[in-house]
Amino acid sequence: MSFDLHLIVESLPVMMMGLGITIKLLIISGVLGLVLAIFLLLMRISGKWYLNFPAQMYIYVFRGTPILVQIFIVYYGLPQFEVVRDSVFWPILREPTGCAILALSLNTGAYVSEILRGGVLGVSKGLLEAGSALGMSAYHKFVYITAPIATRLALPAYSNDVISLLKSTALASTITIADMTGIARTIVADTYAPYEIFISLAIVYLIFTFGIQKLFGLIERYLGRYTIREQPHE
Amino acid sequence: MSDFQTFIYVRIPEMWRLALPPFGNHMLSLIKDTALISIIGLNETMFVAKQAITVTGEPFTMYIVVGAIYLGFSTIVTLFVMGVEKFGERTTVGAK
Amino acid sequence: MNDSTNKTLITMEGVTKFFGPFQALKNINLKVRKGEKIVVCGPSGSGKSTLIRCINRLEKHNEGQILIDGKELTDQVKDINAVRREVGMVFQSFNLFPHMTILKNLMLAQQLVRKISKTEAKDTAIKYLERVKIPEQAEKYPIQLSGGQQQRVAIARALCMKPKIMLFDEPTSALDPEMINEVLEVMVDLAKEGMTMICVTHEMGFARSVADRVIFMDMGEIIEEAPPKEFFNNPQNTRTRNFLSQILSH
Repeated sequence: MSFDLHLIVESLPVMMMGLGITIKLLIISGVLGLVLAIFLLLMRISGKWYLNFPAQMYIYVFRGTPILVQIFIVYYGLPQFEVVRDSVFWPILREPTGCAILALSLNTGAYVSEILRGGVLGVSKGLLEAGSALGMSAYHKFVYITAPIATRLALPAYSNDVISLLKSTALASTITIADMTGIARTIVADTYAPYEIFISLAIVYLIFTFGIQKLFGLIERYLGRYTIREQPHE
Repeated sequence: MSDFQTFIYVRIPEMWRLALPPFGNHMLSLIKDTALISIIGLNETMFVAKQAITVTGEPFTMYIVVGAIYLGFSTIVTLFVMGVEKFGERTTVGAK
Repeated sequence: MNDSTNKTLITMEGVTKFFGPFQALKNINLKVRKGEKIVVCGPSGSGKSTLIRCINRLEKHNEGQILIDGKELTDQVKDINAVRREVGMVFQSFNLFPHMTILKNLMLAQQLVRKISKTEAKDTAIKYLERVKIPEQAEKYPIQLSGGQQQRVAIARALCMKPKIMLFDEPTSALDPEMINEVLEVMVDLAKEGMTMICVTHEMGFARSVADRVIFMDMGEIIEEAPPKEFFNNPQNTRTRNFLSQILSH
């Protein structure tokens, strides 16, 4: 087997044309998933069973089934119903990109809400008691004590989930979307050179992952500035 | 104790208890990732579902069934790991 | 004595508290007048922390009645927060908000709970930081301070709310020995100014010099209650004597 470097040089710029779609999938589903996760989190910690239980079931189902199945249910499955085809959501669900974003958001929301819950549980009880003792309301305690500390605690696990999400966006190619992976698959079908193309694709994802890690590292350093003990200066 | 004995009698018993929950999670990911095999055309659950859809024309129903099968697998693994975890924690629970 | 110094601020009548099957408080009766300083001591698990935590309802009592400055503690959230505004508390583990500077720690509840303007809250905060002798630490984060400094900030934070009563839950127990005095000094100053105080502590020197009454608790009950002189020189109950001999023998 020969390894065709020339082919890599030629096809890399073509694959990069899919970078925009990958980033779009990542950012939109990341943001929507985060919003969903916050709702699920609030349901989980509400202390009301009729909110907690549905949220728990949702998380159980979406974490217990493969993302690929979820994407297929949304893309191939939902149009089976006339109600869906007649609904106002049809313009979104008709497009593969809309379906991918919906499925990815629903999926990452389930994971992220559990990550956030871990952060909330990590906030020491004593701090909330101190808030209570100062007469702060439950709302004020959540906004000014629990939320900022939990965010900082959840950040490392959250950055891992963003990286998972990035990798999940590659599955969008299975429903005809021309993201980086989608383009790579087309090139492979034309050139019969899977090694060159997929290895260079893997390297592009690797660099992307590295960038995300660095970015979150910076955010972590900023949010965690209060956890660093300076040299005591007299 | 020798290094080897420390490893067998101290480190391993401590270690597996700590490693179990993340290992359980990893098992779950692995099970779910098997669905990806269908993309390269192996004859697994997802692939069979695809074939069934061409016959029945009911993709929603078929994929929901696939989802349910995976959920069943996940549940079994989760329950199993929980059981082993409980067994591992019997030495860490304080007196009541 | 005139009327205002005689006013009863805290009344506990027949208060009981259960944690599951375990009875933490048994029929507690206690009256604290304005300006009084009470020291509560007793072995661990005797219910002394639970007692003062019931006073600002960090724990709910099961039976009996607690009145704070005439207001009864019930399940009404509004009433509880109204009472908590008037009762400051200092914890064993400081519980400063780690993600806020010292100044923000002192300003937060003033702004949110007392609805005081930012500039006024800042002035008050700096004033109390000066009183606990660490104004130069205002812009630091709690972790950058020593334990003794953190506890003094915690006291200042409670004082910023202008409370009528201050509760101290073993304020020096988590401190290295060389830092205990700087915290006790602040507490002595506060006592001299006439603050109504209830302190759970094992610092018997503090109890002797500051307390109007010392309360000894064991197994959820108040066993003995006396002015410090009587309490230390002539304890009536055997359990009190045993306890004192244990902690004073070193």
